[in-house]
Amino acid sequence: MIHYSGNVSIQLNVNREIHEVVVMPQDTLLRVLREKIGYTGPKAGCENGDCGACTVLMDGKPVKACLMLAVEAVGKEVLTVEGLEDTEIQKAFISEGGFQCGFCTAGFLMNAFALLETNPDADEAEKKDWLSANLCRCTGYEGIEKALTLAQKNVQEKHSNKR
Amino acid sequence: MIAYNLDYFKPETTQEAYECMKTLKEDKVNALYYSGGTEVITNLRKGAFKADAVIDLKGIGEMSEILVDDEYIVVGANVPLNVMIEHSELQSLKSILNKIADHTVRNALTIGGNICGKLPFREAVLPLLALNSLVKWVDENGINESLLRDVFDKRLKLPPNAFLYQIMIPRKVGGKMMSKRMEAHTEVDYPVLHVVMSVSDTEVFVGLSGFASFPVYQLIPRNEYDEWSDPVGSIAGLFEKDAKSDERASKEYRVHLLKNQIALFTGGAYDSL
Repeated sequence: MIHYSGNVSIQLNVNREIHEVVVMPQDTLLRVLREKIGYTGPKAGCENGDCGACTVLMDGKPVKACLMLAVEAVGKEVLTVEGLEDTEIQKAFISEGGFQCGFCTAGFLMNAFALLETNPDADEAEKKDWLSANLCRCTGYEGIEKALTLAQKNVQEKHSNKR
Repeated sequence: MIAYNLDYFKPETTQEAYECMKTLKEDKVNALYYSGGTEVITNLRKGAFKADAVIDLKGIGEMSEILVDDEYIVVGANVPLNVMIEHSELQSLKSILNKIADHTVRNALTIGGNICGKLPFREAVLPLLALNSLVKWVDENGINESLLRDVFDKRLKLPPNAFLYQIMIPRKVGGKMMSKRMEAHTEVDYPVLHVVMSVSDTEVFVGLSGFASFPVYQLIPRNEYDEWSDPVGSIAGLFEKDAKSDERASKEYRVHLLKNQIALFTGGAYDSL
């Protein structure tokens, strides 16, 4: 049985790199990513699971890093927004202006990226279901929606070119 | 940030988990079973409840699996709601479970956590009660089994230190099941009223979440129900005493919503899920 108490050294696989970090069992994954490893892409918004600004991927699935203990991520692959460089979703957010103040952007990017990886042919209902987990206080939803539509089109084209 | 020290245990067997809890309790350590963590972490951070240790049940393999046999779909208590929603054998539950929390939270939020949590809603229990599911739980005698209806009254009533292990959902259930969830503001919110109603040849089930300070349900023998001249008023009458008023809605408004919804269900406005 695993037992962690006090300061413990763990290995976390974040953005395809192994990081050795000293954490305490009560440390959330969000705080460890930001304060111990230095990935400040995931944002500490509500820290209550409501806003989605802290969203990261855990083994390919979006989760809210504020609702997870860092020790739970041992043995998992964690992806933060820093790991999305040169992806279609990143390019589409830039070209469609999918952000205003930018605080929520990382969360939307992670969720949109995971959706297109899981189902590039997602319909409007599925897109709404996934992205309703994220809030934009600037109400910049139109740009986000356009960015997702563009990224989806580009991902679908890439897939059809591969066939 | 959780502002005090916590010990983290991750057992690999049911016996190890139970013994761990028992030992901690004997040592006066305030310990919690832990699964998805979505409710526990928020409440520990806010100080809504305190724990000195958590016992993470995710190390017990079979508690994270869905198995299907001839009679039952066996769902481990650690299975996240999204895994259930996506499972081909559980499509009858999809439209109920996919309204709980949001898509990202449902990747972590487990069926066991939703049913056993301290939040008063426990919405996932409604269809499981409607389908007359069985539950398995672990205590000092090992793995026990009973009808969910026999151990769920406002909350899951298990012996001290026991924990939910699996839920067995019957595969062949006659009749139809309907549901409707209503929120005060946005879809991603706790319900003002979540109604699940099922009708079979032998019984009518009506279960509510958000209506009272805990989930409530009633079973009505089908022959009795068929003789009611005013099923809407009769069903509402069974629940009226439990209705609550809070910042989301008044008691009177909740009763109004319930009557309206039962009228839609019994008037045939909803097809079987």
